[in-house]
Amino acid sequence: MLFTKLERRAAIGVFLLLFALTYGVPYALILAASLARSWNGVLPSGITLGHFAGILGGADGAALFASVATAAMASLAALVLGVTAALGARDLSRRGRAWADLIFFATSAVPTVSIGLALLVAFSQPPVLLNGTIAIVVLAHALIVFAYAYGGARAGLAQLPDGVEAMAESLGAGRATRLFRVTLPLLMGHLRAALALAIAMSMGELAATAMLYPPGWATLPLRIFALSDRGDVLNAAALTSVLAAMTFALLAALRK
Amino acid sequence: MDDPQAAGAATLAACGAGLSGVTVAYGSTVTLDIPHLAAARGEILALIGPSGSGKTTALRAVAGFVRPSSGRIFAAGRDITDLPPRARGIGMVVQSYALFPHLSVAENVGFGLAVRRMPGPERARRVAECLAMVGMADYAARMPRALSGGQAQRVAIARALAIRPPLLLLDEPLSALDAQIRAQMVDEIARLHAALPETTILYVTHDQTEAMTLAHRIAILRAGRIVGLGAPRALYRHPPNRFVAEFLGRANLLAVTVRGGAGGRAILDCAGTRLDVATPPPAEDTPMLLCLRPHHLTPDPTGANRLAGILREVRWLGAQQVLRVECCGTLLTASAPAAAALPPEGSRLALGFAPEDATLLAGDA
Amino acid sequence: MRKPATALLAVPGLALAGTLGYPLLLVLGTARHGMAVLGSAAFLAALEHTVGIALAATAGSMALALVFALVLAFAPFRASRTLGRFADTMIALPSFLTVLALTFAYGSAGVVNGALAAWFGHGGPRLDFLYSAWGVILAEITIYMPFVMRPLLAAFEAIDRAQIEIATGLGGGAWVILRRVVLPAAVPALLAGGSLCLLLTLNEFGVVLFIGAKGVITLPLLVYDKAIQEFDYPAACAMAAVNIALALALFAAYRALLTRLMPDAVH
Repeated sequence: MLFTKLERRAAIGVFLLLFALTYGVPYALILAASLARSWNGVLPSGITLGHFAGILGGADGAALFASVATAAMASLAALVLGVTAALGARDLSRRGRAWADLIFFATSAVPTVSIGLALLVAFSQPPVLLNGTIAIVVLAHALIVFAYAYGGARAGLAQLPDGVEAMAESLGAGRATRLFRVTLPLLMGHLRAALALAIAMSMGELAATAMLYPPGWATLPLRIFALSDRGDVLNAAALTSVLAAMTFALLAALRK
Repeated sequence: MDDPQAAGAATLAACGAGLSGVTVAYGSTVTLDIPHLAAARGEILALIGPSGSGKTTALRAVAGFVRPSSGRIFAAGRDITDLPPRARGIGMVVQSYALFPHLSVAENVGFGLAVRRMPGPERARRVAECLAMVGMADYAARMPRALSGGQAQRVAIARALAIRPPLLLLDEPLSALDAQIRAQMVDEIARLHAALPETTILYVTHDQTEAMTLAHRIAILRAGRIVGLGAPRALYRHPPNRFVAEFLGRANLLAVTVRGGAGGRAILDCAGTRLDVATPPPAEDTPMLLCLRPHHLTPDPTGANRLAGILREVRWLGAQQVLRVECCGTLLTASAPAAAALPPEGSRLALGFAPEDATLLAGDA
Repeated sequence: MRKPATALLAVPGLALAGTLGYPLLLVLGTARHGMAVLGSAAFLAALEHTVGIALAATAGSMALALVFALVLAFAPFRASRTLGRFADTMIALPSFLTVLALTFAYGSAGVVNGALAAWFGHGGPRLDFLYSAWGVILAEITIYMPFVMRPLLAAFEAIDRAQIEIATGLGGGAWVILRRVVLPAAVPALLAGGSLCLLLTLNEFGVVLFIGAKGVITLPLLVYDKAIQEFDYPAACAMAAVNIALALALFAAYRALLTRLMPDAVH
């Protein structure tokens, strides 16, 4: 044991204090605010579910739909591309693989504001005009979450049990059979986790979306910003709680 | 193995497995160079050697996962050099089992049959039959992670046999198992082969006991080349060179000089002691090595060959005693029955051997 | 025997080249007409803020992560797993959520200031740090701490417990063992997590936007303002180019560090 009993207690005490200040209290307050009838004193007063009432209709409902639809389309597209890229990168030499990793992971290093700006510049002029469409939002999200899909597939492929694919081949499986009957089923856990992370990231994306969204396609984060900006913090908190709860549920469900 | 390649090719057309002029090179380093090696139909040929000797590379070349730089590869009389692994129809079993973790035992065994689009009922029958052969019929519905190592390897063998391959490749199949189960599995494989006498088996292992128990012939590899090939008994009794002598069983090597001889007898000199060995004599005055197996050396001999020495150490191993005796400046290992009475350590003790039990080897190899 | 690598790579390669590579090149092309902005006071102030905030937030994240990871790894208690996993899930939550949460706790109408006003009256002391660079830094520390904690926990996990037991047996106290055994083993993870943290804080947008402090404008926010509020694309592109170059240089350094320090892992 590293710590004596006393040191251990002190360490846990420091941990709990810091954790409460940085995570515990603030998040508890967000939840409290989303259920508060009003908040004018030190603590909120009254309990209501009224802030959640609009979630399925009106601007909130539209934002929820836009977020979920964007995240689903973008994440699936990113997953397909990411798995393809990871399968391709695997067959490269060690050096080639390092380069592929560098390039594919670099997409996650580009500031999302710059991705938004670049798409705005590139697709507001011929040959391809996408400005003002939903497609450009989905494209931005797909680019932003691509690295998570690629990373998940790469990690999964690297952990594939030894010799299993070669065995399938020697038992007579062709390329497609091997991929769909052996490789992909074995990757499923990693792919589900990567998909969950990609959807979560997409649901929370703000910067690129703020630059690109067409009228009527304001996502949850944009809606939350609009509410908070005009001082409607209780509704903003409620919507944020919904977003957080959906993210938690998604991660729990897909990571199993 | 000194057969000329042309003569080899004729036999390859009828062999169970064969390599002709096969080299494998990564960049400029040659990792495998086999002019000719053929296993007859139904033969168990073991490839053994230290790690890095190329034995697994040879097997992977036959399976199709390593592309030879030159040469041809044959299986069941067919030239398969240019076929992809999936078209070779060869059964394979590897050290890590490589069972498909997401498929049940039955689905694992049926995988090769499903790929071949065998109809369901027939496939189910074949799977049941193969599982019964390896004594795993009761485990059909299990998932691989619920199996022990020995069970997993039985399933892997059943899976390889399900496609009725004319050639079975076993790559260190028992190396991941503990000693007791390994011994059981050796018996099991011998029994399976007796039931499938037409199946040719290439068996790669670093364990000489497995090779000597199972194989009809053993090929010993070193640095990508075959340095010994023959029936286990012959290779053991009369190793062709020092490497084989030391790799296959324990060997005492004594530096000797040829003094003469005639017919099938050679007269040798070992630091002044005259020795008589049943072998055609090489040219006189050639320095050679005399290879003596520990169990061929007996204490207090009565025969012609008598090496005077001093007993340095006795180790009791239950069934026998191992003796370390210093003779002619070399420490020799000999064995004696557990009950044999021996003088105390440090006393004089002579060792002897029969002329037929010794092998004369070239000075260095 | 395998040669479909190029075919497989062509699909994502071309897709990325067309949808990200080509737009980024256009940004560079457009940037040529907006270089003048790079000399402006607004740009220089934003650059200074961006780098300063990123460095401070990274240092804070590393310190906090070290404390958290040490306790979680070496003094586990009943709820520690759950709390650790909670912090871990933070990675997937939007960054502005944390700002909103901090606003309720430390904002002008938050609990702390509410309490101060209740005790001392409205003329009394107030806590206003949230609407400054410090607020941004606190929020970013909270958000990005898990990116350092995660590799640190893995590194602590990998330390052979027998090593620590032997060191204790040789008479080492907790401090000595921490300094001599535990921390040296964690340095690669700390550096790797820290550099990732630096990259993410440099690019952070949501936190700064939501805090909305007047004096705190960072590079990403300035790019957004120039493009969306002023429609000055050349200037926005010039600043975006600087931001991208900074991020990619840091990313290259991060990858080099990873391959050097942890060659066997897939990142």
